[in-house]
Amino acid sequence: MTTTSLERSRAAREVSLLDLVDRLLDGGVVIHGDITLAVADVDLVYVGLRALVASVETMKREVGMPRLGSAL
Amino acid sequence: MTATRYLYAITEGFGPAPGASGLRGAPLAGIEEGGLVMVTSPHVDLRAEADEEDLWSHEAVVESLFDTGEGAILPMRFGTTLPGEAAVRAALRDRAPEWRAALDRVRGAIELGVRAQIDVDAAPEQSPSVRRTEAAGPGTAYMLDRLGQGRLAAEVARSIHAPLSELARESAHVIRNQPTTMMKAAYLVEEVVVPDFQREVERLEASLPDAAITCTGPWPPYSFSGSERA
Amino acid sequence: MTRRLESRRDRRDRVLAGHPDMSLFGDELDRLDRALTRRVNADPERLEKGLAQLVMTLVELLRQLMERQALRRIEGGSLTADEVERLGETFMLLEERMEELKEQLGLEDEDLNLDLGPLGNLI
Repeated sequence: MTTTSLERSRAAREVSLLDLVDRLLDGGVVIHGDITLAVADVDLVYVGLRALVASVETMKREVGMPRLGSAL
Repeated sequence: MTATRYLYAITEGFGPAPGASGLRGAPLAGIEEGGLVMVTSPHVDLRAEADEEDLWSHEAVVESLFDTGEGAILPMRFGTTLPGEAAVRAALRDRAPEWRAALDRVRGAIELGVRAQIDVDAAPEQSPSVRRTEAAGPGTAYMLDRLGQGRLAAEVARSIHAPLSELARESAHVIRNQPTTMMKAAYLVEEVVVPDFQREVERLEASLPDAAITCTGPWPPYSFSGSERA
Repeated sequence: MTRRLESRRDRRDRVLAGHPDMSLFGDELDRLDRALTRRVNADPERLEKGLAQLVMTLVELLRQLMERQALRRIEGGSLTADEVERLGETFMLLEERMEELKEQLGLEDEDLNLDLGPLGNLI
């Protein structure tokens, strides 16, 4: 896919604004802390994982409707 | 009533051009104390929202000082204020050692920002660890593939940051691996080295098919001035 | 001197090298929308956040944290072959279910993120 020059200049302005916001609002490239999950045992990871799968499956059943409306 | 002072930057002894204005058209004023100048604008009832126009106004003032070449500056973050001229003078006196050290740190250099997006989806089947463990099952193949991808992407990110940090006085970077691998970095680069840095970014972009790299700048040294809210 | 920007046609285009495209932003455009008021070119589609989206974002975060943890354990060699296989299959299953649900909800990968302000994005 080729980008038009309009898209390129829009991207250039967007990335410039992003970098400006990083500096003016956050003070620069901040090292965001890595969130680590202190899990002692693989079984806890496994159990948590199964719970996630189950909850996603539940959501699928309960949210068995067409795309949710995009009301603000 | 004392007006609130909105702060733009600290300079080593020089102030804004006469008649220059800043946020919302307020006049710029340099407040000097002990050889350091705080460039400010006075406001009554200022509510500085982080608005695209105001951000660029702030940046324009900071860059007008930065571009004079008269000396080093410490740029302030957007929305930094002090409750009046006396407070500014007190801060300049109290924090002079800290701010002088920060000015030394950034003098003669500019800041460049680099972003890189790394996509190593290329042919995970070719990963030797995957072939080796095909007998072991699909779950294992999946995990090893994720492991391999993560390592490869991290390698690419390092191969971007390493040569660029060699060209910089100082650098700061973050590498994030989820959902895609992205690197974001800031480099404090001597002014004379900037063209070399530019060329190195272009060279890396051309030579690393898995990476999309962009460099923005020059910026005043926001990431390296250590200047917290006054 | 490199500082001089008079030659720039557009003062708000600060690209010095490289060729930016939208893929570079990842999820940070959301951060822009949240950080800035009165954004000049706000894309209205990006401003919507629903409950399902928030929940899915948390699910994605947890998935990433667990995957990271599991990969660390594999690299450290502290898992048996069976454990690796079991984890891998479950991650694959989770990914599959999440893709199905995302499709159902009309969510893209970029929709699954949260801006934490000064802490940056959640993911």
